[in-house]
Amino acid sequence: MSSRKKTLLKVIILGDSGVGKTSLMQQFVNKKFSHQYKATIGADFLTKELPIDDKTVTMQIWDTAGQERFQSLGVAFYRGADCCILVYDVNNAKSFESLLAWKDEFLIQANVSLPETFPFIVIGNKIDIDENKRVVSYKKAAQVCQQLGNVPYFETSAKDGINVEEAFDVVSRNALQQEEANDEFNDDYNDAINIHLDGEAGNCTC
Amino acid sequence: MADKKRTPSGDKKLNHATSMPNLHKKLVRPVSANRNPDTSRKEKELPSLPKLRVDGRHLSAVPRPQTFRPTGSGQSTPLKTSPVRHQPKLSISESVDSYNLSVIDMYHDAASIVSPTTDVFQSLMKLGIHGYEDDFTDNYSSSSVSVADSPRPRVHADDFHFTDHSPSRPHFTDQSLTNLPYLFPSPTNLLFHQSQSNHILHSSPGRLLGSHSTLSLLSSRDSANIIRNSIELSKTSLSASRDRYGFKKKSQFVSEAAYNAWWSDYSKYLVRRKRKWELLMKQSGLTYEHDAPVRFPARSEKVKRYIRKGIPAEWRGHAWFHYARGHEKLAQNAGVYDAIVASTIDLHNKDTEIIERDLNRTFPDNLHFRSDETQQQRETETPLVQALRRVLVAFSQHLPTIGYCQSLNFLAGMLLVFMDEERAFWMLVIITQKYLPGVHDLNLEGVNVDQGVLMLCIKEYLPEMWARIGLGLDGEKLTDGNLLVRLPPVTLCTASWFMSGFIGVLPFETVLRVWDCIFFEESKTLFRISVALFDMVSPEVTQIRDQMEIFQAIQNFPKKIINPNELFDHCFKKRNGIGHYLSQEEVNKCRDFVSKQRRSHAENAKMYVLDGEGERLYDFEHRKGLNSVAWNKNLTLKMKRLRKSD
Repeated sequence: MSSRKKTLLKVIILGDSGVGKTSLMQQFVNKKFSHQYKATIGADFLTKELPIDDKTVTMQIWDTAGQERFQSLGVAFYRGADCCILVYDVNNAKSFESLLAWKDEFLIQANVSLPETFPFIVIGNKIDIDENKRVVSYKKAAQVCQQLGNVPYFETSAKDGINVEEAFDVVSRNALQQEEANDEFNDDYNDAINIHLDGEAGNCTC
Repeated sequence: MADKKRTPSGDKKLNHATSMPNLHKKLVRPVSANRNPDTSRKEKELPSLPKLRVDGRHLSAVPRPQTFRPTGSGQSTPLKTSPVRHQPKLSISESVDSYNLSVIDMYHDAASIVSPTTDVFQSLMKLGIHGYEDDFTDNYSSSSVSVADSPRPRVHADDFHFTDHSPSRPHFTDQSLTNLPYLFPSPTNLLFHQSQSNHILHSSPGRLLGSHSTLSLLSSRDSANIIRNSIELSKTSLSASRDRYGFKKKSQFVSEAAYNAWWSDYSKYLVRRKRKWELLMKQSGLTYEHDAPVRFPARSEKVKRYIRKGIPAEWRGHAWFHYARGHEKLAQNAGVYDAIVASTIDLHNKDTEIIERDLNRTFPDNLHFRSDETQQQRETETPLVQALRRVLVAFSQHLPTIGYCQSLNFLAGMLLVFMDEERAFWMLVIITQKYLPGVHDLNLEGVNVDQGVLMLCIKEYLPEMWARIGLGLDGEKLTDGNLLVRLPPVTLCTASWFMSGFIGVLPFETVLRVWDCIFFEESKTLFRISVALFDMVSPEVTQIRDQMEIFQAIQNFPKKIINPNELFDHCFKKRNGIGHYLSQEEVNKCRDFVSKQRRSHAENAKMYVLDGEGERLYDFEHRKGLNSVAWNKNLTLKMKRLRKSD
């Protein structure tokens, strides 16, 4: 499409504390898992170059702190995001219930131009843990994601590296699409005051 | 509880004049008129308290002060009566080495409590180690006070007998210095806590004695003390993969080889500094028996210089507690911590849920918090993790306006490495009230305010750096009118510097040196160190154009500063070291200003966009000798202008 020197895709990972946001990012970027990740304070990001079809893009992945109050820190960096990954822990019902709140929070803070078409992706993490401990079934999760507006859903294990690559592949493709579409709305998202939310996000009232 | 009704301890000043007749009068801060008479009485009692006898037999029959008892001087219940003492929880033995086990074993036998270590202690005291010279090449002193001006208590030559360079002194090679066990197990550390635990048990039998959970609580508390005995240089022999605190030497940014190369020099520096401190204590008429001093020299330029060069590691817990006014806080709240812990044992709420998740994510690379040897060891909770849980849960109950905030786990975890959990708890209370006010509140406004202050500092002191980072997300220049509301993206990274007191930001030994200063010099230290870091990373940043790369450079740079002296030399360098001119008064005023600005912005629910290019909301005027009256007048005028332009 438009001629760009370098395609930068900005991706934000959100979700409750302890669901494995840092682990997912590390697994995708560095192909490793550690038992020694510390709780994330503030925000952190990693970048990764990856090929999409015939072009190479740089993906900039932002890892965030999961505790609610960290939303009071500068969440300005949500703006200009091309995709948002919502993570929950399949063994933790509460983290699943928070998904909608995280989605709404993101839409408010990021001030995206067309909330209904903005690409989200939901990841149910920690499927490596004992099946008996699992509290959110695939069926239930898939159903909710449909209600959220046909959001793609993946189940992963950041620990064992299961499905992580696949999930991020969809992330990168959807993000690229969004980035290209974003160009047309460039004027809009420079305007911090203008929040297009009221009444527009009709499809996420589940 | 009762604590809230009292004056914050931070506002009071202990008077040490009674114990230091040699010290220059000028340097003893005046005792405030409304000082708690109770406290002053206790303070006076201190010097006269009989010292713990070190002949290994005589530990009791000492009259004890009513509410708190310093290490080494307190009454001690005969050992055999304590159920706790004879059931040390040995679960930690799986993760500590045999050296510590022998320490535990020692406490089974009352008669041997002190003597064996005392012998080691005394014989090691006689070791002469060179390196006194650097006192006079000190460059951390405030520029306004020269070394010659600083008061040097007159010390008679006889006072030095314990460092006498006698010909019989063993000769140490460089290698043996590195491995020298110059820090000793301090039995008084354990004794202090246990006697205190006994005191608690005896003083409130109805509430605590007989509660099974409380007993097991106390016993695991005692095991937590063990870590403090392992902070000795020998524990970081060059072959070990962990440092003396149990952290892995290797990090993403520092290789083990780099660590060892640095450590072989730095450990010698530490030995020198320890000798200096011992001399200072002696000169101030203070003791450091069993390597567990309770009282420290009163404030002076000299002490400040010493602190900037680092407090001996094994004294840190006591020194931090002393200079942060922990003793006062604890004395005012005797028994409060245990009561909170007892009442929160079965607590389940939103805070405890997050606390549970963070326990294993606090210091996962530290042996005392999580052993990573086997799966089974990983899943077994260490006593320090259990202590961490109790401290954080108790804290969330005690200060509901904060509750639990991620990053408090790092602060508490760090404190637990150096002191018992009751003290760690009160230190956490002091830190969040005095040094990092509002930083962990529900809306984190304090941290946003501090980032505003920091950005104003950078703008003022490092204009070139500001040109790089003082931009909005889309690369637009932030104006004086909006920078405090739309903080630059880099504050996302610097916020964690403040929230976690540089833990996880700087390498561990470097963090410790920063903390030494914080408790002596207050929160301006955080800003000074931050500005120094920006200054140090500046050459790297000026090479970069991309905003995100700049962010990353600033985020990663501190993690490489393995040598604390590099940072401190920069911060307190003689010419233009930030450490010399950013005063606490300025920081406080600036905090006030930023906070008001942000509040008024929030109230108006809109952003100020000032058109006047040259408009400055806040001027640093240290060069003009800013006083508060002038500053307030200045501010009033600006606010008037602001309102008009609005």
